Amino acid sequence: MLLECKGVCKSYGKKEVLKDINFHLPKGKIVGLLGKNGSGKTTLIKAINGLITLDEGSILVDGKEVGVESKKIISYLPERTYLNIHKRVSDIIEYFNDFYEDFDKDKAYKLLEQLNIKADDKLSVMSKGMREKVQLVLVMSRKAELYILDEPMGGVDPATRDYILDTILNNYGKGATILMSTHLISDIERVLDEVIFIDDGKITRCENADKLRKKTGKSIDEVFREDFKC
Amino acid sequence: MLGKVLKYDFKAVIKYLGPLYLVFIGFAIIIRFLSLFDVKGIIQIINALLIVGFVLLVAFSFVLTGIFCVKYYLENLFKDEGYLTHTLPVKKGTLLLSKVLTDLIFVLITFAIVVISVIVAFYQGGMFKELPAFLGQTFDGIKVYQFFLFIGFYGIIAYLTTILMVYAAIAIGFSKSTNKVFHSVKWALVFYFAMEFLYLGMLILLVVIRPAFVVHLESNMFMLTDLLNFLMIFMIFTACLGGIFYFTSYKFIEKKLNLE
Repeated sequence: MLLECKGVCKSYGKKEVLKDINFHLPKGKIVGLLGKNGSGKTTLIKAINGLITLDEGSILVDGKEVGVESKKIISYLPERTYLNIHKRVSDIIEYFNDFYEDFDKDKAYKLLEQLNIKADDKLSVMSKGMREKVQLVLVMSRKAELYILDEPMGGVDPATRDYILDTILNNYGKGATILMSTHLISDIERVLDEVIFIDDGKITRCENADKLRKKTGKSIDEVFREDFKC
Repeated sequence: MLGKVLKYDFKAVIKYLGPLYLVFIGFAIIIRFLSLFDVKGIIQIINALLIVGFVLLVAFSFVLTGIFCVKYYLENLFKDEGYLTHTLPVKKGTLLLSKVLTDLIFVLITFAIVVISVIVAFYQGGMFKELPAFLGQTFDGIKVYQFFLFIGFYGIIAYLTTILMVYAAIAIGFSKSTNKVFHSVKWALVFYFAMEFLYLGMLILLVVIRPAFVVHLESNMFMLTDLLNFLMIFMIFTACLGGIFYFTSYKFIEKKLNLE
């Protein structure tokens, strides 16, 4: 198994954000982590990336605890801009190249060229959307085993959503797994192999996307709307 | 990995401190330039104001260096940039050690810049003529330069301990779910007062254990070796506190990281 979460619990103060999360992901799958806003998707993703510590439970990435070794094989796209906006694109590429052995510098420059972004451009002069694209390019220029993408299409127009999804699908390594959180299910439904539904910190579904469609006779989007009806 | 992290930490902090160093050198050059003329009136007032500004800058140079180092530590490890820093395949200990080494490097650079700019601004011919002889003088079996080296070393230890105290307070404060800045300030105050009480306790203990030192001070039999022994004990104590703060920061970053 590439990713295993066992009895993961996390609270912020008195609020329980993750409640006994258990699931595992095999290699070579595209997995949708689906849930409403505030359901615990981002917290779970942060826990897998070691950005928050767990109250209980354990997370194993390719059999290893979250740490230096797991970070070598995870390529993570957070839901916010984490790059220093005063840096030039070329500086950031050098940074990734220095720290990640699996980073493909040429691929990054090629993808940036397609976006008409020059190496000398500073992030501070770019729009928020453009910075997010640069971040996506950096993340997808790694030959990682596990890509964790937190709301990669959140708050962007449909054309950009298509670009993002195409970039993801055209650049992840064969045999790698993608764990993608979103609530824009209709946009990604066609590519999902597995789905994980999370609601109020609990996993409510963790199953094969095709089987779920067959079982319910509905699309994932429709099942989601039904499950999470207010 | 330490070398790589250090390289990027250095580059980031020089972006903050580089302009400050340029201001130092700029002030010094202008003061030197104006001193070449027998200036009167408004120019004289400007020169006097420049000198006051320069002296204030020198006085606060280490404080500013510390502030920028702490700002970088906070942004790089606990704000949005932390999402990248903490997902690098680098040990937490390496990240922290690099910050401390960067602080050390910049305190030395600041010292060098201050010395150079003071010389540029105020150097007079023959100013250092007596210096080698003075530094070579021996008091109470200790050479003057050895004494200054010791004081400089103690200064660095004290400076790093203060920075580490702030680092530890931030690491604890930012592990909380809410009011992170408030908790950081609270812990900084707790550490500060705890340190002051510990120093006071040490002082009382020293007086009890070795009253001769105080007697010497009162009876004008003060010896440089007494002072050095006294400072040495405080320096070791300060270094131990620095170690405790380092360990606290490390443990909180390693075990209680909370990038909500």
